[in-house]
Order: sequence, then structure tokens, then C-alpha cells
Amino acid sequence: MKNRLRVLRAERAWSQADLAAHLGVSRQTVNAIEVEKYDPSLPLAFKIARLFALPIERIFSDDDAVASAAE
Amino acid sequence: MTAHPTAHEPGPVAAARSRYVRDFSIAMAVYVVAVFSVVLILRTQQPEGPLLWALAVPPSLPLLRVIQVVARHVLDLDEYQRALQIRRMLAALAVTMGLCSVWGFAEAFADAPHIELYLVFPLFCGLWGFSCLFIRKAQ
Repeated sequence: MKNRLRVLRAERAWSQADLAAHLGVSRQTVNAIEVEKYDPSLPLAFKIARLFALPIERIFSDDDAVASAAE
Repeated sequence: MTAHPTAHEPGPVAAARSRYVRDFSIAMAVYVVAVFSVVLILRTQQPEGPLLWALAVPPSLPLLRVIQVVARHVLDLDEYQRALQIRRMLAALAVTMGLCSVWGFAEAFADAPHIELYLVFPLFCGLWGFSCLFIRKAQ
């Protein structure tokens, strides 16, 4: 899955630790999501969406969505 | 804009971690004292009969506590770290069971030297630690 977490975090000038504290997870988890090494659970994805006040699909997109957007 | 980030205040993750370090340290300290005490009694008192069974209890209880504390710690991790550690534990479990089974047959059939069963847990822990070098993705 692709995501825009790093960009959204940078827009708010938050460190990974800041974002982790907002989400109640470890900094390692924020990093793993940002480098797209780990796809968050649905509850965590909703929490991220709520924090940035965006719909989930504006933050995360799967490969199929990326492919269909390119057409 | 949401509230100011709270990265430097102890969150649930940090609190669980310090509780783990504390409980683990206490259990291991009790374990070390128990092992040395029992060995000392065995060397100096020459106990016999049911007392020998009773002497197996003091080192066992803190070790059971260590297992409980480690299990609790893994369950308290956040979802990514838990998934990562469970994959590492699974790899360590597979190698531990494999080695123990193979060695068990070697002991039974080929008179291979006996390995004490209480070494299985440290073997598992060592392999768990070693797996961190190779297993770096949670999915």
C-alpha cells in the first residue's frame, strides 16, 4: 500500500515521535508505515484519518487504485 | 489543529515498557538468588527424597513468572511491533522444536549426550534474539 503519511506529518512539522504520541503507538510503528514496510490495521488507519481530518483513501491507496488513477 | 503533541510524556507504550523492565528484572533477580541458594543447599546439606523435589520449586517459580512477563510484554506492544516479535518468536519456536526433536532422537537412538531440559528456554530466547538480525518486516 502507498501512503502520504510523511507528507501530512511534514505539513504539520511533527516528528515521527510526535505523530506516534498522537496515535498512541511507538515511533518505530510510524516509521514502518511511512516507509511502507507495514500496512496499519483498519482501526489505526481510521485513527490516522481522523487525526488528519481526511478520508482514508486520501491518505492510503492500494496498488490497484494507483493503477486505475494512471489510466 | 489538534492539541500539542505529547511525545515526551509517557504514553501507554512507554508505561508498558517500564513495567516490563521492572517485572522482568525482579523475576530474574529472584531466579538467580533461588538457583544459587538451591545449589548451595545441594552441595552442603546432601538432601534426600521429597526434599529434592521441593528444591526444584524455588528456581521454577520465578522462571514461570519470567515467561508470563515476556508474554504480557509482547501482547502490550503496539500492533506493528507485536506482529514483528510474533514472527521472530515463531521462527525461534520452529528452530527450537526442530533442534530439540532431532537431539531427542539422537539421545534415544545413538546415546548422544543428554541435554538438560531447562536449557530449552534459554535456547529459545537466544534464537529469538538472533532472529532479529534476519526478520525485520512484520508482514
